[in-house]
Amino acid sequence: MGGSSPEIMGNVSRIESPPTAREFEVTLLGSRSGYGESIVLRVGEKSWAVVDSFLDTNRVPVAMRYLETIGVDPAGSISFVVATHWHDDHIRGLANILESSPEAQFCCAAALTKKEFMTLVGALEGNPFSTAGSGLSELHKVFSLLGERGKSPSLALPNRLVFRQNFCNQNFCKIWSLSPSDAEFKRFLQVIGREIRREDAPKKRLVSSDPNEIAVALWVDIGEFALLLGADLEKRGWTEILQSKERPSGLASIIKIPHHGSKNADEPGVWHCMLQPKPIAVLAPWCRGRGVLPTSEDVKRILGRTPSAYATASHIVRKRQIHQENKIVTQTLRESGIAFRDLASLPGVVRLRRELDQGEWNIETFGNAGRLVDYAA
Amino acid sequence: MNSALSNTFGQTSFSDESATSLLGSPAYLANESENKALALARPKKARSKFISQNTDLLSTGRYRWEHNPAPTGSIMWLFKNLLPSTSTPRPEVLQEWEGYVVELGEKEFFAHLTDLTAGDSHPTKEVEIPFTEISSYDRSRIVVGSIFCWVIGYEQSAEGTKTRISRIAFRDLPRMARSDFQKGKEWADQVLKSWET
Repeated sequence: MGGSSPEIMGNVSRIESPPTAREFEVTLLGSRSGYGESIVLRVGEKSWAVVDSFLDTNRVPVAMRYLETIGVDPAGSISFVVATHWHDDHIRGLANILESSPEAQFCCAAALTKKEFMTLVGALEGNPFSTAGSGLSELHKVFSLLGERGKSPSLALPNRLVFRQNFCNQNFCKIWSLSPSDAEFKRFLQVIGREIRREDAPKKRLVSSDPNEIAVALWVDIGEFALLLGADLEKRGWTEILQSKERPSGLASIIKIPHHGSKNADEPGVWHCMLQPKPIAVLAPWCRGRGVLPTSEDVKRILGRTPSAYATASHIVRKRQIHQENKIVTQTLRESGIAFRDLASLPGVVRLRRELDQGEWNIETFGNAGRLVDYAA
Repeated sequence: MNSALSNTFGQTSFSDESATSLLGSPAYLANESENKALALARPKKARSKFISQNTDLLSTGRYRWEHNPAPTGSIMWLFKNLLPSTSTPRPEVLQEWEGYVVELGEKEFFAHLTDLTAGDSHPTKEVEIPFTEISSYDRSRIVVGSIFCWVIGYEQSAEGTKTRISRIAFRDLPRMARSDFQKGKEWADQVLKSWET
């Protein structure tokens, strides 16, 4: 991987500034194309965590690129890596991150390490039938790498402390997994069981519409304040978290809105029982096929709950005529009238920093990121 | 096939009915030797990857191009796939993508494309393709997760006619076999065991 890429985020002079010694940071990176989400967290003086991943236009995990941009060596400082789930837009590049960070602890849903699921991963990815990597092939790489290292993953279960580290003096950064619940775990195994029994069915690429939704929501506790990172967890998962009596106490001042702001991930109880009034909300838009999140209705609903909401893109990149290096190819495609949309695009960045013992959050946006109120669905 | 693509790109013989001209079809690309010819015509950067990726396809003739309506196992299919072609076209590939279907609409489908010409290993483009661009034979095989190959280039017939082509061919992927699951289980056992220690 090369040096930092100034063009990556825009506003170079500001984005390059590293946090001060006593500053906590959580940064949401989202693809402008609406197909990629990654979170970078400062979890210690010289220690960082990465939650999910996608690749930039140079095929480098954006989290690593971002850390380089602020002058942090990713290889020596990433100590915790989380895959909230295995979908393509959340997992691309996690194997690269782990490969270059030998000391990093990997965390994923316990269900993903069940033998039934791993057998399916091995059956589909052991002999790849497609050039394009998938979420499952990324997991296959990650698990193979951890196998080589003899390093077992940290297993995310409801209300489990998955990471703990001294941040600065007496401040500890603690990360709790809140999901997937036992019920989700069971449903997931039933789905996998059905897949396993599909012997003699044609191989196909499992895409995220397949019903394997088990997402790891995280609770990050820094003593004075807390964050709720919602992953892509949908409503049923949130209902189960709210019913749990063992979940960490307190009210978070920041929420990473679950599932790109979709209605099916919105549980009003979360806003009442787990968040401070009018928290800072951040989200990464999503787009695939005809689907776009958040919709204008979603934006209204979120802004009705908090005015302090930010998105990693002000709009989703639309389809356009393609321009290829080869003129004949470009001409052929133009004649066909078929439009394309770039999936790899520059990331937008929402960065939140605050001193450990001082109450004000410093909110910065870079690239196409901005306030949710300005977002054009 | 009512293909605007075919019409636009100057192909005049790509109709479902054209399959009757089987062996004489200069545009036919389904058998092993022709696929190898296709591979050799690719830009050097992506060539070796293509050959290794498609070894099983080449050996079983599983690539079927959009204008090929012959059902697997039929006499037509046997002619096309098993007999050596006497007029193998030598396509000059300018651009090739591998795509997989991510969403089905009423009149179109959406796919993510990996640029094999650029040597990519993950999708960088999303495309919306009308079903009218796909043969009725292939249409029934389009499901979420199915994989296809899209080639743009030139093709020269035995008679020397050069034609610009754009073809989408859906792959018949191998079936999940007991051996796949056995291999998967062995891999899972190995990884899980290493975690215990």
